[in-house]
Amino acid sequence: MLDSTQDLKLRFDSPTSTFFGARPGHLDQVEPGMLAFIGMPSDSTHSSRIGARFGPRALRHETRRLMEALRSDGDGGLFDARLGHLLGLRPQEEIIDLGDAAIDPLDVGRTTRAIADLTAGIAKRGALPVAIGGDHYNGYPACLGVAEALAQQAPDARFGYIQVDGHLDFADRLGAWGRFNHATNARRVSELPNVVRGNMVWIGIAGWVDGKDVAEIEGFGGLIFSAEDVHRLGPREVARRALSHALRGCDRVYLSLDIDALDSGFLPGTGSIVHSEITPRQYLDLLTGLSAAPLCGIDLVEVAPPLDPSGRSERIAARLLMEILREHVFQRLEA
Amino acid sequence: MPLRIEALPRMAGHLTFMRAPMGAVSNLEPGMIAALGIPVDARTDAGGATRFGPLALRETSAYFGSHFASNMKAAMDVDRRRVLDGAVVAGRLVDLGDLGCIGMTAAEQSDAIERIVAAVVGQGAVPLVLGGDDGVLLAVLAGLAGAGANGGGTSPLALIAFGLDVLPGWRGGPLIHLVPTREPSADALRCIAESGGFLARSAELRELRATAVMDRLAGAVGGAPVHVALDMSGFAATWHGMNQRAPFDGLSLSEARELLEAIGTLPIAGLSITGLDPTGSGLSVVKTGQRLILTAILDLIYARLDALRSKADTTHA
Repeated sequence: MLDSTQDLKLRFDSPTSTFFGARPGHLDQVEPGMLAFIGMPSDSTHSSRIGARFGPRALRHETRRLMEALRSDGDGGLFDARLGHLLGLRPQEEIIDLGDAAIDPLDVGRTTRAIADLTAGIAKRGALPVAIGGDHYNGYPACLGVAEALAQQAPDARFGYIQVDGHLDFADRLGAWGRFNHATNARRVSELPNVVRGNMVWIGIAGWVDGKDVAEIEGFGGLIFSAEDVHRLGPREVARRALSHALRGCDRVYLSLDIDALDSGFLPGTGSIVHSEITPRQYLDLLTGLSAAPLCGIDLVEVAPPLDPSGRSERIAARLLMEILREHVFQRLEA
Repeated sequence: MPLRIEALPRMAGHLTFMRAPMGAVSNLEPGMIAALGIPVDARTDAGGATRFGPLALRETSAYFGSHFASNMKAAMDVDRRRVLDGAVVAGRLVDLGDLGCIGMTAAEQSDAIERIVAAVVGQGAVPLVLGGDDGVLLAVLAGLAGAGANGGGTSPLALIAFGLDVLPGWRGGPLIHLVPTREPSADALRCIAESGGFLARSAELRELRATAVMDRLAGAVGGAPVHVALDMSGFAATWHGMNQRAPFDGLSLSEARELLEAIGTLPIAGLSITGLDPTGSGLSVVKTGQRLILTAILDLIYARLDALRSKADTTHA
């Protein structure tokens, strides 16, 4: 077990930059029904192109800008042209930003505990934790915290898991990085006692992967939708099937969003690129389909701003984050 | 001779193409594929820094070296549900290193390229040329032809070009030009027609099923040995932005993969990759173009080595 010696030290990169312009706060201010963000600015568990530690800062900036633009236009309601809906913004008091977890780049155990303690604290208070990376390893401690909180609150409850990603992340070890890194996070999640392995779903997996991982996942009942499946079935149908699978016998699902499921031609600002030919529009439609799910936790990872000086990677990621949170950010108005 | 027997992190070890063992021309055997870097970029007027192409391609290909590592027992193309038979590939892919071109005149470069390619072909192996700008192509073709890449038969060498401008004055066997970067001149069209080949733009390729494309290719090539000249300009810039020449059209990865896998079943005598400029677009797209062309070319290499096996998809039937 990873040791727990980390206090919940919080900090902000800027007093004015919070996710979606949320009010900055602390764990003891989290209340039931809230959306509670944390940043996970860590990429020391990434094995190649680093830069995702700057992801939370960039996404705070971009989501705040998005929200300010919506607020300035939103008095008479906002028209969602893609879905044909008239939307209003939900009260901002329901969203809180707890700052960044205290990352220790030299100690993966301390980093794991720092993140897990925050998401556990949020979940225990009845709020929805939204953890922003950082590389994808950090998705594991984010999910670990949710699992620990759930185990305390409802020892017999189980939850499903959906990972949107270009990669399976199901290795047991990775070269010099051992068992805790951005290629092993999904396997570590599968080892959590209250995750139903057979309800685990992967969406967007592209190209060459380890065939024995595929065989093992499908052997225990997990479901893999390749990028080709997304193109063939359509993102909405994939979302429908994924939720149906992940929620078998469960009433909640954890969602892990790796931005690299998008084709790198659209989003080069990420460490482990794929050519999935999945477009931002398809990713958006997928998240629309997943947004109404009974989510118990979300992470969004692998946005690496230094790898894309154009800035479009974090802008696309911010828009995607808003889409998965649309039920929390918007409310439907009568046309 | 296994490709890799230890589970090294992919940044470790010698930087060879797909972490293949380093080899020498004298040790090549029939049926092998020999990677050969030609780091030049002053042979066309298209500019760019394609001399960094071989380095970039090797760096990116290291990612795929895991296909043979002991920690990945069965590399699988999850999109198409196919697995790689690593044993078929093991020992048949080597890296000869880069041709030393610095300080040479263009004529000396051409001579050196021609001789090294001829030497590889003389051993019965298939050269996999990592360019370099597209100007190396003529020297590569001369090397292939000079070494009797047609196996001593009567069929002249056929050329399948992907991207690129249409070659002026082609005097070999069938010239099949796919996704040309410019509208060809009337002379070029006549040259293609007289060679027994054909020209197909990306829109035409999209309309045809892979089997129909293959039928046309096989019909045009006949039994002739083929050189496949892949240039980065054959890919739509939407997906990368790292080509030496800006294409007016191009294929997506999935379209290119389908095509290249079909081409891989032809009697390939040589293969060249040109036009990759890893510096031209700056950091924003570093690696995307490299990964694109490497992912595409894997299908061709694996098909050439007959190393792909289908695996039934029972999950989404």
